[in-house]
Amino acid sequence: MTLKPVLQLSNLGHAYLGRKVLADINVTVESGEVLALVGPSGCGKSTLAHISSGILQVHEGAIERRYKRHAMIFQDTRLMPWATAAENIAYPLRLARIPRRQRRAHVLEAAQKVHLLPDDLIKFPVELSGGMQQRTAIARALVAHPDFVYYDEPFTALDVALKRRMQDLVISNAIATKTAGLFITHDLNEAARVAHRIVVLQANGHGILGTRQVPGSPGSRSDETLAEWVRDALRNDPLFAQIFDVDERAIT
Amino acid sequence: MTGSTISNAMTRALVDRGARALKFIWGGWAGLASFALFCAVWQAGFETYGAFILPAPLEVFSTVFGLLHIPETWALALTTAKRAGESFLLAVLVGVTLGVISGHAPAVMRLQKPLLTVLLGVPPVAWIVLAMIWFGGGDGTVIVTVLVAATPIVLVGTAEGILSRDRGLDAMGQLYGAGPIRRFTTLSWRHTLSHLFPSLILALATGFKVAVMAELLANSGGIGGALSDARTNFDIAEALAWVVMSVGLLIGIEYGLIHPFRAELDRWKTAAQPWGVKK
Ligand SMILES: Nc1ncnc2c1ncn2[C@@H]1O[C@H](COP(=O)(O)OP(=O)(O)OP(=O)(O)O)[C@@H](O)[C@H]1O
Ligand SMILES: [Mg+2]
Repeated sequence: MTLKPVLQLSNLGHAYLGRKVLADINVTVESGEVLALVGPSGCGKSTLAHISSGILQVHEGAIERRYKRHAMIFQDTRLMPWATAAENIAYPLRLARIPRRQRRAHVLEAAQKVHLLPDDLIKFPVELSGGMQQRTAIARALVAHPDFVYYDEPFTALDVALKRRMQDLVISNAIATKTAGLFITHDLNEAARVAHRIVVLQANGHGILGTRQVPGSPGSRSDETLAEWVRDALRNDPLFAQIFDVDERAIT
Repeated sequence: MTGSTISNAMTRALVDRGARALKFIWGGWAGLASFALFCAVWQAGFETYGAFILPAPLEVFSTVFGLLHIPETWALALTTAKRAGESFLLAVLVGVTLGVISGHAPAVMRLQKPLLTVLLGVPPVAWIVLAMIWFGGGDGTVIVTVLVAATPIVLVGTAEGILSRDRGLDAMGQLYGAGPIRRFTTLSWRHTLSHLFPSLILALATGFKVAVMAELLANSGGIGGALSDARTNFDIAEALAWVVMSVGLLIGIEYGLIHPFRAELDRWKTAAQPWGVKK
């Protein structure tokens, strides 16, 4: 295995108006790997994803991207309010100048993956429930078949059953297409389920606290072993104990 | 599944359009009611002050109908409509271009703000006098006056639309590979358009009012010129008839052209409101 990592962040740092929110970030995502990024609210996870995807400018450190096409599921859905669900999903295809006729089939395929009905596709975002909006955003991210996906807490608005199905979708999609990704979440169960490795960010964003390999690979772990691993990690691993003590949102 | 989706979408589009048409007619009823109220107050004014000060609404409307039978009336109305329309379009062109630039460049915005305050503060009458000196009493005077009065309105509306765009959407477009131009055409411009309509309607109304006023003062034909003649002859019924006609012309253009376009663009705003519920 001498394949180079698809994403490599070296000594990355970022400041908003002089206030340093990220420093000394060294993260690599291997080819075909989904890396979970966890950390308390406000520690700079979204900022990290935005810098490494190129939305925010790099001021400090270096980024090497070796993937072809990326997509992001934003923490806020970022749908265009004036466009229907179908038009929103088709947006990356429109930007890639794919003819209208061909877009249709891709949109239907992506919508089916996230369990959106054709009737929902002609609705505007205001007419969709929060979970449906989130699923529309997920479909938009998958529609152009990216080989790297940034997931910024994508499933927070979904109910338990749907959350599970969407996690399964990410897992199977990642396995089938060898899509690598950076998966931001608060939920250690979710992180352990979808990711190969888990990286914990410092609470103040100044550095990485540590990395843990989750045994097995996504999709092949049974629910029992996962539950066992998470319970053990929370109880005995100082890395997670420290993080999830201060994170009020993890208590669910 | 594809087939049924398409037919679903088509039925929905048809039903939507029908509902919008009905809503429009429903809005017409409300308009009619307020029109009736207006006429009642007018009639009361007539009965208090007499026909020399305020002719009865019926008399004015019959004068309007009488005038409508004369071909020359249409020519006059057309002259005014053409002047107002042309300068409105010109104002939109200039205002939108400058607005887009200043919406993206805060420095330009800051530089032109005092200038806009001055432009909006100078009464149109002052411009008419200046334009009469510069251009004499023709089309030029009317068009320049309307342009000066309407352009700042469109400019400010456009700039505010651009400034209030969703930066999150911009970032989303950038992530999916849209450069500045495509982000503008697919995201900010669409957002701005929805914001722009109130200013467009205001600019059109201003255009008409100022055009009639400029015509009257410069005595350069059109509805304003006819109004000036009616005043000279102390024919109050005819003067009011011309006022009614210019208002009718404005309403015709606004509801015939601007509103249907706006309804088509703002479908997403009305989509979530149950039918018939209006705020
Ligand atoms: N546009 C911005 N301007 C200034 N400060 C910002 C901006 N965006 C984020 N911040 C600050 O940067 C820090 C990190 O924010 P970020 O959104 O990356 O956190 P996060 O880890 O994603 O949190 P959460 O889990 O709640 O989503 C926060 O303290 C926030 O206040
Ligand atoms: Mg975040």
